[in-house]
Amino acid sequence: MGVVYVLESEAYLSKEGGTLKVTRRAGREVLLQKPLIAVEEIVILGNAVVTPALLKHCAQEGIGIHYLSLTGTYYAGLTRTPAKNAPARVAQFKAYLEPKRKLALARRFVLGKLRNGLVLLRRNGAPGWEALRGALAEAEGAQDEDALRGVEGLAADAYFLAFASLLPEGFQFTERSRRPPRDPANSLLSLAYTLLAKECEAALHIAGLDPYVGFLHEIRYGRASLALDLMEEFRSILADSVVLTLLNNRRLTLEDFDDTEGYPRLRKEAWPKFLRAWEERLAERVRHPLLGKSLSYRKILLAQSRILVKHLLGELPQYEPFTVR
Amino acid sequence: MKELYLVIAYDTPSDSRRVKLAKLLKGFGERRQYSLFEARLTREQWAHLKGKLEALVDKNEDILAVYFLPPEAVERTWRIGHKGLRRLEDPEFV
Repeated sequence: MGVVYVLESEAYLSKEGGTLKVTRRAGREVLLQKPLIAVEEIVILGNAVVTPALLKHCAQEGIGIHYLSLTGTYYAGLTRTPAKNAPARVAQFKAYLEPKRKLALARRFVLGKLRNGLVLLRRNGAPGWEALRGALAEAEGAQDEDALRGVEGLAADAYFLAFASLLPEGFQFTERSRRPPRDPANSLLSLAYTLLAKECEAALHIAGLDPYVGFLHEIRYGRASLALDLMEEFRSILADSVVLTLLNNRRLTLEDFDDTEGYPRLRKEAWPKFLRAWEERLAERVRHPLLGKSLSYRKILLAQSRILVKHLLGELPQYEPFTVR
Repeated sequence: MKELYLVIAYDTPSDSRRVKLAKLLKGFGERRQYSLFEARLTREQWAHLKGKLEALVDKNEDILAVYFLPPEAVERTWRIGHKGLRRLEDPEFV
């Protein structure tokens, strides 16, 4: 899996022979030249220019191009055309239309989220982690989707309260805030969630599912709700843990943020530090309990998408979220 | 996934084939000298490259050789002037 992050705002991306060439827009300075066979995704932060020839190649070969704003919001992208696995999507829509199956799936995503959140808090010795235990039992017993979302919301509040206490001084917050995030830690969490959502969307695409039709998250125009569903079980173990490590190891400090827009934003120069930590985490290998194999987290996202397909096609009695111990 | 480490060397009297070979190989590895490349490929990528080389090289006029280095040899390589070949799948930040 080769990802190219383009942080240089005046970059010019072109295809030269079989290579991806990145130059500074004004001038001939070559910033990067890399064989295209090794590129699976191009993530652009800012206003890089992509030539039509490169765009065409990416569309044909299924290379994703993603535009992110400097605050980390996803605003445009070229994703793969729907995969060939049409039966998977038909099964997905059928399950969506059956209230019982929809609720059952929504419940599995919530349980995955709660279990992994609990593990992250307990491992780090956060006070108040026991609160999530009660939420787990309540989620198991929730009668309908509203009750389930209610349990999830309350658990999320408790989770972030405990999570904030693990952060170093100066980064602690009282609640999760977004659009815009009101403090540096929240702004990092938002960035990490954007990147995670993008990874989930790509994995679901490859597995043949439609990332826009979810079970826990209601469908809404332009919202990749199944990607949001899938990311629930990974929020704490991937995104939150990267933020925690970066801040506690002082790899990012308050000086890496600026407030000129009225809310804290990661400075452009600090992006590589953040992205490196993110990529390291995704490349980390762990044992997948169901498959009994050790895989990188990036592969685990794909494995979970495939497990979901198996469930939807009736080959597995229920979807088993990925959980760590 | 098993990874192959290749050194590719070639020579041809034809200007057009020399240009085409260089262009092709740039899409797979890094150029070390005018007609010498290093590449780090998966088996699938190598199969793909092999097919293209077979179609391009003239068996009577040109010579081309691909040397596969075992991991121990790659580790023991002594270099001046450039760093080792990067892993293709490593993320890049520009």
